[in-house]
Amino acid sequence: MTDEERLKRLLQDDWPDEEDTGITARQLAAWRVPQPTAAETTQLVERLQTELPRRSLWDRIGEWWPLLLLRAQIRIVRREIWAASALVMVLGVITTLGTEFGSGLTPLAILAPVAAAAGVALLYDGDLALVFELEDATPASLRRLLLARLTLIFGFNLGLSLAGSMILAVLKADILLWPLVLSWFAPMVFLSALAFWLSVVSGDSVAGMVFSLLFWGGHVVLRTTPISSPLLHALSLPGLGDVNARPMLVGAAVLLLAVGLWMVGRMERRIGDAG
Amino acid sequence: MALARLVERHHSLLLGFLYRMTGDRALAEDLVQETFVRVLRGIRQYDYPRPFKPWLYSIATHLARDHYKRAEMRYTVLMLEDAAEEEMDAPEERLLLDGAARQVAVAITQLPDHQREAVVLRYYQELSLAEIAEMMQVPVGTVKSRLSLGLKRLREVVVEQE
Repeated sequence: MTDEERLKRLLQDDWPDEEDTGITARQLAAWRVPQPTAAETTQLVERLQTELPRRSLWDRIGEWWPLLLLRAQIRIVRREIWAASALVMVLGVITTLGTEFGSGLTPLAILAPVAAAAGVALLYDGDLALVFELEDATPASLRRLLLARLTLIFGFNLGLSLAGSMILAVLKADILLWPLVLSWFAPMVFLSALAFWLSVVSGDSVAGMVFSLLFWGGHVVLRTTPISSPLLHALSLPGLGDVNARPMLVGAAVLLLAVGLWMVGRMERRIGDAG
Repeated sequence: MALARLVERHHSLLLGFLYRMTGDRALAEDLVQETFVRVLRGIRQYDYPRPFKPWLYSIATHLARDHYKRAEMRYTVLMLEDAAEEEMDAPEERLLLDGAARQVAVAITQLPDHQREAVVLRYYQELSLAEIAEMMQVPVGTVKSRLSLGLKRLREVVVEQE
């Protein structure tokens, strides 16, 4: 489209009653203006360099891409997950304050892994069509997006659990902070990774959540019940609460997470190939 | 790199706009630089995803108004007619004001400031009516009426010349 045609169209939009906008369009198009050369543009850019706002260290940190990704993902993660995790942790703290648990697991240590595992399982939810549309529309890979969300949810639950543990350590003389943290940390990590892996394998976040919570629930129940049966003893997964097994649980969690992310990446590539 | 891209994208059109506002290339270049300087200094006040172009031209328009409000800097093509040819910077500047171009330049410069701005922003910078309204802080209806009056006047001058 020539300048004259473009101007004529604009004039016809604004001046619908005018019979002949051609003359005016022609005249307007005739008024040319000087064009800067490439060298002049480059010189202008150089002169403007000194005016660039100086970015503080905080600005630079804030623009680091993993942080930007996390901030963007916060808006996409379902609000119910944050609220439910907070509620469960508060419940854990309150019941721990109000009960005598002897040398067994505190309610917080029981509930902290539950909240984390449920939240993590719900991240990989195939019903979130809008989220997947957004993921398809962005250059970020599904793995990276899921890892960002895992970091957010797990980090949120970890922070809440730590805060709850500190409150309990302050308010209850018989609770020591470090042992309390260790009592829930390894199970939380393992169950979260298990819930994620099961969600990926089954393609169903509810299945992932249910199975991982069944494992944990079974362990807690059977742990507090005197067991004579070897089968039940095995089903109680004693390793989940064993102090010596904690490093292995964390290692197993890392493995489950890595395998889950790898599987997600393979599914993404297959979808891409089919498209 | 972002700065270079920003300047490359807007330099030519901005220079054209300020040249049409002031009639003086050297002054237009100074104002282009000043516009970009103000953009960089005020970049923290710019809220994305607000459109950038109206904000840019709002700054440029204010700068141009500050200059042509001063009587000695009032733009007129007639001043260039009196200037000796050798005072013009380059041959292309003489060509820019030949014939039909001179007619429309004279007509537009004779318009009241608000009408001139509306006409140049609409037809040369291709801003929408809503964008011009936001820039000028007036209703869209006012922009339409300024354009209508400006174009009528322009048409009268053009027809007279023809």
